[in-house]
Amino acid sequence: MRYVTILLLVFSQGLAAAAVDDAESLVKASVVYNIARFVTWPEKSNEENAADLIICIQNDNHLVTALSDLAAAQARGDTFSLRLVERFGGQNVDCHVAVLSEDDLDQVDLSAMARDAILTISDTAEFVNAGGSIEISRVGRNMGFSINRRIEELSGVLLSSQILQLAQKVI
Amino acid sequence: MLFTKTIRLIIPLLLLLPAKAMPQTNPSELVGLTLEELLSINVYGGNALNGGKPWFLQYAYRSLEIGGYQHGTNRLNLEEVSFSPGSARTASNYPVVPTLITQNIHAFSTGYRVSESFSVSVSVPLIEQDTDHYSIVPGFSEFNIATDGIGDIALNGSFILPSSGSHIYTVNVGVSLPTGSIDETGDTPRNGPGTFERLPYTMQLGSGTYDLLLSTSFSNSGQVIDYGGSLNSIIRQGTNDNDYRLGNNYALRGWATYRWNQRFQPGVAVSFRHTDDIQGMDLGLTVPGPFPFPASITDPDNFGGKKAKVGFNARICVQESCDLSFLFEINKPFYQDLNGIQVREKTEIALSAKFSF
Repeated sequence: MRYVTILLLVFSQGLAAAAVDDAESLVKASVVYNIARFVTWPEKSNEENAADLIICIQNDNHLVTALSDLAAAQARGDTFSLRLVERFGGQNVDCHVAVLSEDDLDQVDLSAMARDAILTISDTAEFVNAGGSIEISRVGRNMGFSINRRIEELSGVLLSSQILQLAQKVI
Repeated sequence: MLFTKTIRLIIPLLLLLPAKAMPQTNPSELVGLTLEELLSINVYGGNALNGGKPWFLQYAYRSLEIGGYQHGTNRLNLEEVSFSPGSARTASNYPVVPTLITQNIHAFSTGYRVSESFSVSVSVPLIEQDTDHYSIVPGFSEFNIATDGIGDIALNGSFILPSSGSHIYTVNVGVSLPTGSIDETGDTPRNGPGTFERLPYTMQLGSGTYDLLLSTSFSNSGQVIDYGGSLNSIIRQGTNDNDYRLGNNYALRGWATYRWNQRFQPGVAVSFRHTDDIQGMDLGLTVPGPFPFPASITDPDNFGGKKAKVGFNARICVQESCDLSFLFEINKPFYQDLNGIQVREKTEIALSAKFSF
């Protein structure tokens, strides 16, 4: 009986662990949304941005499901719109934020997107060194991010001091 | 008996550990968190190398070649080790001389993350090994002996210690079960052709003892470079049914990997290993007379020593989530100080595939 109890305890702990399979993607998606809340786009106030925020993502990106779940779960009055795009390259996308995968990088011009005031975010390594705006990465057991401030020079997008302080690296 | 004791040690520790894997996993809870709160979430927990998935299956192949003689740090040629009729027989030359030992291990492993800070795994090795020999015994001038079968099954428990920041510290406690045979036989020159005798220590498939597997490791993840170190030990317990105990084994390893991108991470590792010689003796391997050991690998003092290796590896992830990954490794010794007269280690190649789910 003692061993049956032990097995049940082990099994219940295992179920708890299995429930968090997609935790990494959900946290990444939440970080994307949270960072965007602290960005001011040209000729817009921060408060307006939150309501009108458009986050674009290619429909084969591995964060699509997590961002969709997050969009569905957000509170009224503090919303973002998730826009699925077929392909970033060559398409005139109307977005505040573009979430890019490693595969997308071959088909986009990161400088052109920065000039169009599109904040590019990716979890691809070396993304900010390649000209992207925000790179989400693993820092030990936690998530972290790096910032490339070039978008501020190119388009007048303003990154708040709060996210600059929380960044692992700012270039 | 030891196995029972180990289980009794692990189960209370398991029950003391928290079951909660990550505090916030619900999208509606996450959307309400501040950026600071999100960055403080322990996303990867104790299973960072598993990509957050609770189970893994792994197949690992390891091939090792051992050839060429050495005493301490001095290399010896075959003539110095082999006994020739007409010359003086000493404790340092042998009528039978292994020239090349090849060992291939196919290890099948599975593991399960029981909680954020505790996971368990089991590993089952299938071993194939063969040895080429040269000897002065008529009918055995050149001969090969091979063995294969299941090795010692290892059970492991891995504990993640509380820490903050980008560091992860683990303590691993395990036990190696004596499932590998220590009674492998072959046609050796000992009693002439057509007779099967028990083979030397290196040709056996297991240790014959319950062995404690104790290790601790440290790792740190940066923006693009991860690095870490580990201290591993195999502590043999008691003496096996053939009256010997393989040497304890202690290894120190440092490594670093470069995260080229989400799918490709090359790395480098340096390791140092100390192995004790064999305690006791299998009398079935000896012959009567003043020189009881017909071959260097039948002398229990000719085992163990110190070895340092450098290795290069590359991890390839099939998807960005890295649920399916492949690891290629090549290790080469750059320093060997061997106890007695031994065949020295050459290149080791390893390939593995791991699936997390």
